[in-house]
Amino acid sequence: MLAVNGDIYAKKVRVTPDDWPDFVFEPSYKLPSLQELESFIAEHKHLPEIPSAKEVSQQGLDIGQNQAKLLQKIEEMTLHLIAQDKQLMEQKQRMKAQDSVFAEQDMRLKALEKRSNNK
Amino acid sequence: MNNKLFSLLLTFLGMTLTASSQTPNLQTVTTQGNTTTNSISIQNKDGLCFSADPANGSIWTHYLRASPADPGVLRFDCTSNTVASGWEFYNSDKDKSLMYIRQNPGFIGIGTVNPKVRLAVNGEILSKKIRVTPNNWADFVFDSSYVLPSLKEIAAFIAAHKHLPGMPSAKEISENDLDLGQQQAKLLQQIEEMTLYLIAQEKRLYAREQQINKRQQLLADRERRLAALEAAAENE
Repeated sequence: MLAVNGDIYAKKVRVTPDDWPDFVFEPSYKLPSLQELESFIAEHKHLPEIPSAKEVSQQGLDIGQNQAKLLQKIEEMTLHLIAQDKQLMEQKQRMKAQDSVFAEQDMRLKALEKRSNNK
Repeated sequence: MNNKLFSLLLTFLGMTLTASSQTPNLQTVTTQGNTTTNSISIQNKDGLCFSADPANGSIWTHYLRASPADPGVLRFDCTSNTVASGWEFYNSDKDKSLMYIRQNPGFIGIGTVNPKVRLAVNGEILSKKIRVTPNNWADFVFDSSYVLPSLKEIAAFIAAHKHLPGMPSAKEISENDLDLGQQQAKLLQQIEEMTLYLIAQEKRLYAREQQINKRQQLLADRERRLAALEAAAENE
């Protein structure tokens, strides 16, 4: 509609993207695992659903749509971060429990040693 | 009957001829301030021309004429090369410039008479879609040669500068403007880097999970051996 071969300056630019990604937080949304993400990146050298550098230079970047995509990626990362945080807490608790078992076993070992020394 | 019709037709033709000869032509409209209710047609290739500089009233600088390059296109032609020349859409009632086109170097201002870029809008732009062509798209993060800063380095940078590395600070944004395309590329770069941290962290979490499981087995094993020793000691 409007093509400008140069800069556009405005105090504010508003767009109306039609694919705002709150669907990430729907229970039906299938969050790709970090493992899947890793192999996608290794193969394609860009994030899934994000245009590649080549596509951007050829077709331009749709600012509204891209904001929605970036938000989607941030939302997905937030879910991964929350999951990792939970896993970290769980591991911390398990290690704490193991520490007390370890200390208890140590006490029993010392008692056994004392007994055998007193013989 | 036929004769009567013919003479009627002649009278009608005569009337129209008289009427058109009484209509002032464009020259008398412009030079004598006459008005005309007729439409005005211009077939001259130079169309309408204006002298936009009152001090040089005889120099024609602005033409409204057919484009010689593109048939069917009406051209607003400014033939002056002074930077100040151009076209303006103006509201005298409000004493307000609506749109200003500086012919050299072709900058357009909407709500400003002093555009510094191709299109300067002193206000909001609302659009269904805006496309830009940033030149720093961030796929380089996934190149094997890219050195990902450590989270430790990032933490130190944030503590020192109070903003993310590579991102403009609030001060910079208020002084310069925000280039939407470049900024999106920078945000993508941060997301790509964070994705890599997440993947690395996931691996470390998994490795630790394995360690904890292994320790669990060691503890269970020790528990059995201890219990056996304790039972033997009791029986002595």
